[in-house]
Amino acid sequence: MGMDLMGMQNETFRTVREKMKIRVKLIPLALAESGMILASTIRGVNGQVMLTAGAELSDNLLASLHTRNISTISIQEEDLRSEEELAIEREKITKHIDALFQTVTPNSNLDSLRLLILDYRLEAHL
Amino acid sequence: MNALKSIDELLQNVDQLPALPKAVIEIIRCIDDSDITVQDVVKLIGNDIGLSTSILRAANSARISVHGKIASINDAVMIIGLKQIREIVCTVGVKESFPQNKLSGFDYINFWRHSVGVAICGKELAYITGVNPSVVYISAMLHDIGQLVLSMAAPNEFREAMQYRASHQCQDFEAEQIVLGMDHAKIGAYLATKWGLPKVICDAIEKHHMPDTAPTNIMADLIHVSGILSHALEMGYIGHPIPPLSERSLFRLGINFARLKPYLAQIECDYRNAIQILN
Repeated sequence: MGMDLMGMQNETFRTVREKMKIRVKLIPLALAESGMILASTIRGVNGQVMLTAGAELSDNLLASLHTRNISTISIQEEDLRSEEELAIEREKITKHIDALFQTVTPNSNLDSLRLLILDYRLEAHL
Repeated sequence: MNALKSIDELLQNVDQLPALPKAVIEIIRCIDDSDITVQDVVKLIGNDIGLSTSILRAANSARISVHGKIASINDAVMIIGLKQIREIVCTVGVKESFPQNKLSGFDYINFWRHSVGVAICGKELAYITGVNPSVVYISAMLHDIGQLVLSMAAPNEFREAMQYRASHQCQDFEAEQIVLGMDHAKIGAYLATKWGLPKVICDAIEKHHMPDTAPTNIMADLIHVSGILSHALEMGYIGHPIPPLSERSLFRLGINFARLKPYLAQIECDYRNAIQILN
């Protein structure tokens, strides 16, 4: 019964997380805590994938990261911005990114790059 | 427009070209060699006291102090790993080989940040495309060194080229060709060749602005596309317009920008880690 309850709690937690609007936050490793969710892959010393996005940080993982030459990691956090705030931010970021691309002749690849950066900048909390 | 100059003509005012420490050259030369051992690298770095000090400072820059400082090159290689130590050696060794802040108006801080940005983007794109990431990293770190050589050889004309670029909104290599009769890609490749670096790196430096000139070179393609990505992410130069993209480079690499989103946060974290090494 106890196990079932725990299973239900985990399931609820997962469902809440799945429904939550997520954004990416870059934080100093010194501020990372057990339970935080990684937002991007971390490669090991030989370039192999050591941790993937979505991995939950544990004390052991944090201890291992602290021995590496790493100062910043990216974690997932709930996106608490309202639709209005998001629209204002989107307009500001779009204007800035459009200025970066204004001198190049548009084509489908550069358009993909512009949208990629726009999407990332809107999602990332730097 | 200035008539195209030969490299010898341009370099006649330079007393001495920057020299890379022997250890850095050796480590770059065997970058593609999986047989190099930890002992080889420790010995190479250990023979150069100045380089050893810089490497230890860099190796400790991003670490959390409560976990103790790395006190020896041997420990640095063991803890941080051979690949990352090679990158630190190249980052620090290359940067320290050039005089800094000699030319007023030239943004040295963002010059190096841009080089690191291209190197970090290049390394991630290399993993995605299956190319040796260390070779890409080094080529990217060196891709614009020709600008530093031009600033030493002809400071006034180089300053004029920077002004020309800003007022005409053209690319830096185009402004250099117009004002100096030479561009940084050519002279950078010349210096890398003089240092005895592998041809693949020299070619990538020479062709990073014109990756479609035959014979094509996958390393030049990677540096070119990484340069565009790092500009878009504003690594180093903030607000600089994106340079023209070679669609053929992108096609040869099989890269689709739309699929890169999962990698951007990590690229940005790696960039932040790496620029600490520069400081």
